[in-house]
Amino acid sequence: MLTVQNVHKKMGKTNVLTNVSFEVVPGEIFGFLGPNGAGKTTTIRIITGLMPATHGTVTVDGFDVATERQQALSRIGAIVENPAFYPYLTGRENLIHAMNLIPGIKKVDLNALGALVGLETKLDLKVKQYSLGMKQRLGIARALLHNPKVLILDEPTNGLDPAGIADLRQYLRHLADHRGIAILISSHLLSEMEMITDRFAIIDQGQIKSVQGGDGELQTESVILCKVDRAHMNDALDVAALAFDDVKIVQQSAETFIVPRPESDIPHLLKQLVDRGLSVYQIGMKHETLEEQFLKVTKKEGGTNNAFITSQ
Amino acid sequence: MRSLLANEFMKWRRTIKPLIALGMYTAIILLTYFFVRADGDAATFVNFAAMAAMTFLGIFTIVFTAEMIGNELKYDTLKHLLMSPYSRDRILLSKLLAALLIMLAQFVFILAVTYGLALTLDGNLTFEQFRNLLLSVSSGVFVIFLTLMFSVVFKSTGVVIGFTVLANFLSTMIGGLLITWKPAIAKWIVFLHTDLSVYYQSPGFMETMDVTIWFSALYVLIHIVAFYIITAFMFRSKTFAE
Repeated sequence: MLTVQNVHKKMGKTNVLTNVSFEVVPGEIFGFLGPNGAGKTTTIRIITGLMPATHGTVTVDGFDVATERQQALSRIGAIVENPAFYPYLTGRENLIHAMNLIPGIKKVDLNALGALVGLETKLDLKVKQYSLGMKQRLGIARALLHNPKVLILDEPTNGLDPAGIADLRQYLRHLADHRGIAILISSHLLSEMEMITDRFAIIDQGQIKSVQGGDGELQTESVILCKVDRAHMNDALDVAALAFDDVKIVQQSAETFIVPRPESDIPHLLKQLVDRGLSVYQIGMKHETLEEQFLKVTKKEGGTNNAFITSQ
Repeated sequence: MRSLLANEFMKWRRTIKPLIALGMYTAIILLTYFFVRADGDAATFVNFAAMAAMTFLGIFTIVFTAEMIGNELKYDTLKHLLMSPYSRDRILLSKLLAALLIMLAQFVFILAVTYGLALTLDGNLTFEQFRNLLLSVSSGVFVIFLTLMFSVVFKSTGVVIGFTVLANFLSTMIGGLLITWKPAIAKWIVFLHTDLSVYYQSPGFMETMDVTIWFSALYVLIHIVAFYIITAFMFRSKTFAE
């Protein structure tokens, strides 16, 4: 539905984006993850026709954003950077304004749309009286006015409280599952991406470092985590090394270590440790979080991850 | 295009400024009426009242036009206009047409109030006077094109208004000085040509420069076309990103 192919953006002498490629299919929530300044918003600005790519193509439902602008953009609903409105107009007037910007739009039941985003009683208030959360919801209502096939949300949870984030998550899932909308969400908040997205791309310094996930679940790497008596940690590490001579055992703390092996190897490791008379306090699988994957990917590629925020 | 124009009108009329503008025109016309009615006739009243109100119209036209793009930048809403499936050329054209129509609507309001009150005074109203008022609208049209051009160059509405007023003021002042000293140079200052009613109100002024109303009209037309080409080019190519 949304295809970004080898997009390159140069500003002055700086390469802001280098060969960015990914695809978002109908009914999928695709995350676009990266630290501040990684190139997320620039990519979104190119997708939404706000900025031309130096080279590369962006197509929406088969229409090229650069050459078939009207067809492509009429299939996109978006919030770029922050939901901006005319503060002296009411929510309803802002929606009417947005409707007038779409050629050939069919009449929209604004009350029903307002109800959909929980603003049914607030539509006739001026937007300057809205909280940030209400503006985010009005922004989503505006993005959905024309039944777009692609919904693009740039940092959509900024300013939302935890309940608002949970509502948004549920609502986006509903849109993807029941209306088949392809949703692209950018964020630097790992925890929310982990909860919302089906797949995600990690972008750093203008390059896609990795695209992960698929089949409806994020594919995270798992390792065996084992907690032993700290006085016998060295013995435990020796036992683990002997048990799995082809893997690197990593001591995580004074009393825990990890073994990058699948769950099926837990009985073998446990038996070896117990046979040597070592006390095992805890053993199980530890799933690598999105945050750990992100740090691994950006560190490996020499990227910057210091601007990264894990959650709020 | 109609829906884009409807948006521009909605944004304009929902602020307090149009009411302030109409209030100011009414107040200045009424004030003139009370001063003139004792010993003036209808023609004198129309002259003074329209002249005073038209000065305010010039100022409000600059403000309203500067805000057409300035407010979009201020509220960060320009990106929504530019993300619209409508082309940037159409978006810009809708703003230009809205600015022209808003100026003309205010002009009609000024005429209606002025002529309405003039009917209560003695004396005849002439077609020539009405024609002069119509011709003076040319300076409003020019100022709209100039302001729109500045507003795609500068981010701040204040700077746009300042530049337009300054350009108008300085050029007219310099032109005024040159007209007696070097009229052959003065005639190339476009600001001296924008108000075509001068040809009927102070014909000697333009005769000094040895120009005709057709020269002035064409010269102003060339300028506004050039301004619009520059504006459209910049509006099309700028990203307007922070």
